[in-house]
Amino acid sequence: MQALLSVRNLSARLKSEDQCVSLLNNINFEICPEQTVALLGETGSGKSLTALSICRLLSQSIFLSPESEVLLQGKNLLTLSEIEMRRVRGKQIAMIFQEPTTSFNPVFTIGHQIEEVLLHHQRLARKGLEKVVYRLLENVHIAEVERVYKAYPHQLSGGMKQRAMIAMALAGEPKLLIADEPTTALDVITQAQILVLLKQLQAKFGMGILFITHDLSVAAEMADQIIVMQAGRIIEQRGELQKSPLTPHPPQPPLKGGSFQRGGLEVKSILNDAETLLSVEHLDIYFPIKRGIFNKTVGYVRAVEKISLTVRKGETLAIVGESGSGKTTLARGIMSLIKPTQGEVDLLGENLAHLSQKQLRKKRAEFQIIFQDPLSAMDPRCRIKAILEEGMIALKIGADQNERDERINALLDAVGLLPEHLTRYPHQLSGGQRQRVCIARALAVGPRLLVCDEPTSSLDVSVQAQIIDLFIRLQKELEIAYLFITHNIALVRTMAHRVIVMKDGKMVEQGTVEQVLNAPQHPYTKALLIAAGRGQI
Amino acid sequence: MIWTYILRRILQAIPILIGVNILTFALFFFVNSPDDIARVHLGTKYITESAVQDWKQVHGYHLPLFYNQKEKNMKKLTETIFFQKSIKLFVLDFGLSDTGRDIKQAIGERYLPSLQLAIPVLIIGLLVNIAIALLLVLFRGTYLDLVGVFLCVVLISISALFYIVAGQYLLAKLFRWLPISGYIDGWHAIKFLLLPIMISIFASLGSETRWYRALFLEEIDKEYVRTARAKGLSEFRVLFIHVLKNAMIPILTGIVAILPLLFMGSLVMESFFAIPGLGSFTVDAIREQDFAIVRSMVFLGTVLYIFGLLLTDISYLWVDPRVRLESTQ
Amino acid sequence: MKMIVLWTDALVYLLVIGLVVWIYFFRKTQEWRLILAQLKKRPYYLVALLILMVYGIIGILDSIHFKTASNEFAVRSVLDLLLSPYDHVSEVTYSAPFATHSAEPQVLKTEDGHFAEVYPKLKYFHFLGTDKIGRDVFYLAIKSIRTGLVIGTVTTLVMLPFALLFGMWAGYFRGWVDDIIQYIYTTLSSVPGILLIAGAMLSLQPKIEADPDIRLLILCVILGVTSWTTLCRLLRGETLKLRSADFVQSAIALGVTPLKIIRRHIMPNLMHIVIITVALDFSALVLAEAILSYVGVGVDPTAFSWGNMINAARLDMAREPLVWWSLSGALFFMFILVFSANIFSDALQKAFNPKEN
Repeated sequence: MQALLSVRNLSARLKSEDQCVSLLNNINFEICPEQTVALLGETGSGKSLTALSICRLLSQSIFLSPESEVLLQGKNLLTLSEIEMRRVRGKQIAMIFQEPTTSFNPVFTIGHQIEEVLLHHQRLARKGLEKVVYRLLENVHIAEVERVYKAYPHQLSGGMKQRAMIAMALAGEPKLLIADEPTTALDVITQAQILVLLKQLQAKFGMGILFITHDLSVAAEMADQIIVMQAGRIIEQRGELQKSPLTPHPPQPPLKGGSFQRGGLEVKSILNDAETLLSVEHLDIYFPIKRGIFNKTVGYVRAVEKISLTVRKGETLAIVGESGSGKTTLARGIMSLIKPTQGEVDLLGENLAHLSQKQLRKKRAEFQIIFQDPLSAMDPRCRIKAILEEGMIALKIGADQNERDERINALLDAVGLLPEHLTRYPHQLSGGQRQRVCIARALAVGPRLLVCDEPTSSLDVSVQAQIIDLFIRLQKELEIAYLFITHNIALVRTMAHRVIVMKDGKMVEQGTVEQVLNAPQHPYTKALLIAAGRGQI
Repeated sequence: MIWTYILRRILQAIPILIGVNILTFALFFFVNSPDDIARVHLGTKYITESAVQDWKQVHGYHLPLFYNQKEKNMKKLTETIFFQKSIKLFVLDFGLSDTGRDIKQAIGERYLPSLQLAIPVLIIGLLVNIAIALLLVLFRGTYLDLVGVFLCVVLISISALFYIVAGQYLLAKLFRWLPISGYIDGWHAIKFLLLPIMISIFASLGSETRWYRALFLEEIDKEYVRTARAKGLSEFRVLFIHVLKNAMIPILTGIVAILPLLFMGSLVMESFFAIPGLGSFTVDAIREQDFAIVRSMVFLGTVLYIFGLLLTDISYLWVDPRVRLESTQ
Repeated sequence: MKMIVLWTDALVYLLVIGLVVWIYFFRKTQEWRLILAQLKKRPYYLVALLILMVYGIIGILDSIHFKTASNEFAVRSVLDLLLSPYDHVSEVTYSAPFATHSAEPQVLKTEDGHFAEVYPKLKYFHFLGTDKIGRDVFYLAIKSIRTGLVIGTVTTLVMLPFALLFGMWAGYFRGWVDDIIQYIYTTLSSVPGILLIAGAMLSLQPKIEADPDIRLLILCVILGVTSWTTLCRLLRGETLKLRSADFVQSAIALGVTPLKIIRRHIMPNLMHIVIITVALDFSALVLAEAILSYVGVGVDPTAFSWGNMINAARLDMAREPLVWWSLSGALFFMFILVFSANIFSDALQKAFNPKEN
């Protein structure tokens, strides 16, 4: 069968005033009709760039090499004039993007934007246009077609918007659909639905799909062929035969997999009568909704609703939820960085809300927080030494400079850094090193509780395992308690004693890890675990 | 719902107006006592004390500043300079100028020429500037863009006075195409307004175009533009329909904000071209050191400005669907 | 020889010292390197900077005043010394640039005893001609540099503390402090700028009539007090953003006191906004001086300023023959300064734009 799309010798360079950087290097692959090919890779691997090259939507400073060829049904797209290319875009090749919110024009209705495609490519009369749009929306399983037609993008949910975007892409009846991380911004359940939808549409219309993702399990589910990219090159191509999820092992590049490399460390079980460090009761954190620039309070966003939990000495309580579940807000509320609307947060028996500013500051030595992105958690102007010292100086840990220096050296040892790192700036360290610095900084003041807000999510997979090992080791040695926030079920299994599941600000299930993960009660927990089982989270 | 919102905004504006009132009062009366003001107006030679008192009596400056102990009840507060001069402003009773003219009447006579000058400048200027900015963006990265931006910086760096003097000299004196200055009522005013309008537009060309260009460039980097291109739309359509509609939000609301201020007129333009608007009214008052008029204009200007802010909020409602409609999320 | 220090002179010295100190601390930061990189990348920025420095030096030279024993009443500056004799001599009236004879005829007694209208010969060479009372236009324009610079910089000196303090305070502490500060700057900015300045200058008129230097000082103070609101708003917004950044939240979590956080984490990250705003405001202020002088609330009419030159020259345009040199001279020197400042502030904007790097 003749290939629908044939990419040959595709190479791209970024030309700026003083330098020439190679972005893509000799990309070759083919897509046949009704076939799905997945481009798999981490950020910066060049997968999106490849897709944009096919559509010739690159920015003005990126140049393709003369040997590059992109053949759509035999015709080389790269030799077409811009006007001819515009007839291809939207009609023969359609593209959908990751973030449906920003990919739609916010000041036009959905209906208008879909009609635009129809008017431009199919030259349909204006009269029957609305009906055609309704049909397109029905194809993507949107029930309330009239409402969506008249709606502006911000009035729809993420999943709805993505469906609308797919409908818009299909309006031109394309032969090739390029999907650039279409489900990454969606929650687990909607993600599954969209993937199913895409497969159905492919079967119905016989399109070829170029699916771009960084998630191996999604690729495995969708694609007939997986192409792995790294740093602008193809490093691996797996065809029809091996559909099973790849197990990552060095020296293969990091991919988002479902399991963790455990360093063989087991989480230490805790005694039942260990003292309670943190006690949260009926915590509510509401944010007033202020419309636009009026600052009129029209309602409240209930970020956290009636959460109660306890953390004992030396134990790890995991909080699991997807983005938007309120777990980050909860963490900041517990840390007294956000003021709770109602409820009590007791640390070592003292109600934090009843403390004066000065008392609260002193108390902070007992509990610290690790943020998700270590780079943004450090002041880019400060050297590592200053960063580590800051808390100690503020909370008067260590009587003089010598004691502080000793303590810093001990900390470097504990987290696996070297003294030479002290004089560097945050941007000069690797991701893993930066997080180690943040952990050291937190430990410097001697806390008994560490709130960790997705501390490994921003790191490469290979580094994640090392940091997790570090957490486990530190807990063993120092008997620190963790309030560990994550969306990764596998991590929970590895690290936690007890777990709480959050959805939309509320707690839907809690218990020991064995209870919740092996015998979930709540339907949401079950759905999460199923998705986890697929390796998607 | 919208009326309660408007009412609330007006209520919020009142403390601001009070604040401005107190500010201008402090400015005018704490720094100079009424005696000083009288002396300024009477000239510098041989002022007798009785002359000063007479002048103060005539112009209402003889009363105590805040509190009148001699009077009874309400008059303790009302027979004061603060009340007479400041509170009355709230009902737009501007009183008499220091030279005896009725300020309110003068305002009524003079606002029209200001509008006649300001509105064409606004509308034509808007069209011209947006068109040039869009053109530069269409050709971004090319030499046309670079030259255009360079010219904008040059134009911004030249004093507005140069444009006025050069324009007046070239078009009025040298070529004699248009009158140098002056004004007639009615439609014939056009030939007198043409020159200041052209010069005003030209003077603000550099800064406005540069700002609009920056706005458009910011929009063009957004993701919905990429989607529009991916749909196969022409660059022309992408710019003039998709980008423009989004960029019009800050542009329009910015224009609406200054609409009321158009009444105040341009101080420089009007006095240079002898247009009898509120702008020249203010300049003359400043030169004559007529405190009453300057105070009134300050207050009027503030009221109009705050009104402009109110209009801006309302225009946001109209122009930006994100703000207009409630999110269903 | 006795040194005289005018009020504005003192401020100029203060500024220069401040600038030197600031550069000493500033050269180690990232912003400094970014600026240097831009200067290297595009040499025309360097040219703009050089022009600004030349103007700056002239301004400083003109700020060192002294009195000589021979003439007790004449206060001269170092610049006057360098430009002499043009500072104290004058022709009778107008003369064109490069001219040898006056532009206006005079009735003089000729050698044979008759009265005739002649164009008297000029005593000196005048590069840009002379004005109505015979002063050298080039000299006037150069002397006006100081006024323009003072207005552009001293105003900033007044404005910065207000804008920084209020902006950071309002953004960091929020709550009622924020409300009050917002009320203050909303009220202040509600009054159209030029009116506020005019009003302030008018009411201070009696106090400042006597001394042109005091008047210049007061003008700068008023300009500063009326123009801090825009920068304050910007800094408040940026402080709000910074406050919710993870690294500031970390500092709070580590128990660092608010004052220390502001000093260490917030203020340095506001510097780029301050620098760009100061540069942009500078050119705006220099241009504004001309307008204000025209309206009558600018510097003292006897002082050296481009605004005054333009104002006086305006009437000259109606004369025959056309007297264009005074006007052009003023506008030209003003243009070079403002243009260079604009080009340089463009360099600053590019330096701090993340996309460029």
